[in-house]
Amino acid sequence: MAPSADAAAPAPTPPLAPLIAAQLKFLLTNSSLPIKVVQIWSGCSSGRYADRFTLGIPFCLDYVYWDFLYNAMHPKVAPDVIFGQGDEGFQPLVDYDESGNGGKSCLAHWDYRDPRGLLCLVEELRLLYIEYQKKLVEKVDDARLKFEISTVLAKEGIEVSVVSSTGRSDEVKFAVPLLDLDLKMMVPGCPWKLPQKIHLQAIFPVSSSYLSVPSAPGLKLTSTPDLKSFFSVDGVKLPAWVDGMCMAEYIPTLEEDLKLQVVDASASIGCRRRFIEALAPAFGRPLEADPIFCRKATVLSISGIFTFLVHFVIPLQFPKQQPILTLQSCQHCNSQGIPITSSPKNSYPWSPRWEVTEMAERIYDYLADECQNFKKLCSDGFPQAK
Amino acid sequence: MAVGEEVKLSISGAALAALLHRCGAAVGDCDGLLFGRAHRPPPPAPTLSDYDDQTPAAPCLFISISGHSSLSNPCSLSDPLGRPNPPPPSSPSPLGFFSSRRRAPLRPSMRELALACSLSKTLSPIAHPLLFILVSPSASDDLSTHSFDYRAFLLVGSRLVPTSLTVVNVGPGFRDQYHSFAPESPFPLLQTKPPAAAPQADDAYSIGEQKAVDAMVDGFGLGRLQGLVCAAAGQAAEMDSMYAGMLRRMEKLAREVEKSNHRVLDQERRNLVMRCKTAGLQLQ
Repeated sequence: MAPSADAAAPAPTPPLAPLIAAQLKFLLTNSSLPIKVVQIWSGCSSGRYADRFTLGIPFCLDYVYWDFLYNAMHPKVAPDVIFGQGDEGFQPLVDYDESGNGGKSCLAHWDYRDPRGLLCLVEELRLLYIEYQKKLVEKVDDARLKFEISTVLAKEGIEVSVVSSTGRSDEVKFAVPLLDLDLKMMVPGCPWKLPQKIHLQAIFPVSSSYLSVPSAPGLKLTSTPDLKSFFSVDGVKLPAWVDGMCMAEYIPTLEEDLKLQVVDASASIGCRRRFIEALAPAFGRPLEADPIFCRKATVLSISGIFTFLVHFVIPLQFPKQQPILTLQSCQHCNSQGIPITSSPKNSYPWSPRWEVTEMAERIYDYLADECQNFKKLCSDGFPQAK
Repeated sequence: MAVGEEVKLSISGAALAALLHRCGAAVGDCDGLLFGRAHRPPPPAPTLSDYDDQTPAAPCLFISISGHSSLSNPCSLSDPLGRPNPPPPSSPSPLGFFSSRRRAPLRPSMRELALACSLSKTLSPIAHPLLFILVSPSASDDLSTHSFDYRAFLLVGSRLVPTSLTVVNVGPGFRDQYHSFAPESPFPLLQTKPPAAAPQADDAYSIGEQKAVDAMVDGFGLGRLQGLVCAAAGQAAEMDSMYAGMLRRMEKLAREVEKSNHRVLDQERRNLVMRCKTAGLQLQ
């Protein structure tokens, strides 16, 4: 993927030519997909301006890497694209030529001054690539996969790909978007820029021979990374895959299950918010708190003349799991000048059935004792500190 | 291409050097057409051997590249969608095309593949698979080392299949090409027997024929040429004067090329400045 010349000489990358930089910047800020820039390099003989780059484009819960080649010295020339190593069969322009609808492509009326050009091109090619992979999967000679494809391929937003690896038989990977709800709507004041999604990844082995009981596919839930502060897919227990089942049967049950859990997660935000609010009477107003997901809060406490911070990390399963407390002294630093902090504490008395006010009071009582130990630790460990 | 037919791809050392120089001298990327000859040699004469168990050689297609032509800007052959830009010149018909992309992977891009497919349709009838050479020049940071990676492809179906390219220099390896040489001369066909009446009359030849000779030799009448062909001997002085005429003609051409090259370079420089202004770049 990467040009060999670059691997040999890691030279500092020259700046992208302004018009190309504008297109790339527009792509990165406006794309609804998390596109990665892998490498930027120059194709000019002087090497003064960079004009080509490799982009990692999300596809089927993975990335495909495509090289986009511009010409800094010939700004009006539209970019060309080199696809990945195994994608020789992906020939979008040949297909355009055969179907005669190349006029619809953004390359047909390429305007080098328009910063949206690259975004249009990437989106257009990605859609064509999804279709190309679907066609490849449809050609796979496996009766069970043929059935799966005929039943789920129409689902909106589904992506499939054929995964070939040396030494193993081919596999077909499905990335099925689950829950048609707008997760953004469930979190008030949500900071997410990109749409958040939960996907079911199902990997089916391709077997040309007929098996009476085909093996279960490899199933895994994945979510977009930002979603982790709201809902963790790792904690979801997948329903069992019964022999002879197909995805069209499996997905609705999974979706229903998941929906309840997501609603729970959304309710849990309210619960955490009330807990943070209940801290105020005992500890005073928090110094800072996470106002959106309510996962973190920090309060300032004083015991005699000992002043310290208490960091609350509130788990997603609150109130079933208790918050993790960390104490940080305001008066003691270690030899590197970093404030001394205690180990995380989560073994204090706790019951999920208590009212939030009681929770706050119990933590206050626990800390009243615990801070003495912490104070001792601070002054013993570092007698030279003030 | 017939199924199972072996294709032997070759390029003369001088043609490859010229091609690489073109790619290396370009400011950025460049592309152009490749010319040469494709032929199927007749089956070789039966070799003299004591054993008669030799299997007949498989049919073989020889493609030899002898030159290229290119414009200074990249993507000169096609539009952004890979459709051929100007109708390719009818004569001589190109073998294929080349593309040079600095420090880029040696895999055909989407546009090159589309261009290969549509060129092979446009250049009908071609009796050989379309040829594509991909060059990737790169230079070390201090410009002390320039390297050129290249790979040849043949269009099979709608795929560009990598093919080995032999560089042929004068020597034993050149024998195949030497044997397949077929002269092509712009000289008009001259009769071996002089016309009975007025052998020196220039108007016995058409204007086209006279022009063809003028393009080669300055001030050498067709009549004199005819005389050379028909005479048996003692024409050394006449021959010398024809060569002298040819050399004069060459020199004149070279001067013209030199002059026009200067003008082309000047124009190129002006274009570069304009293009940089368009792209918002600063020239060093």
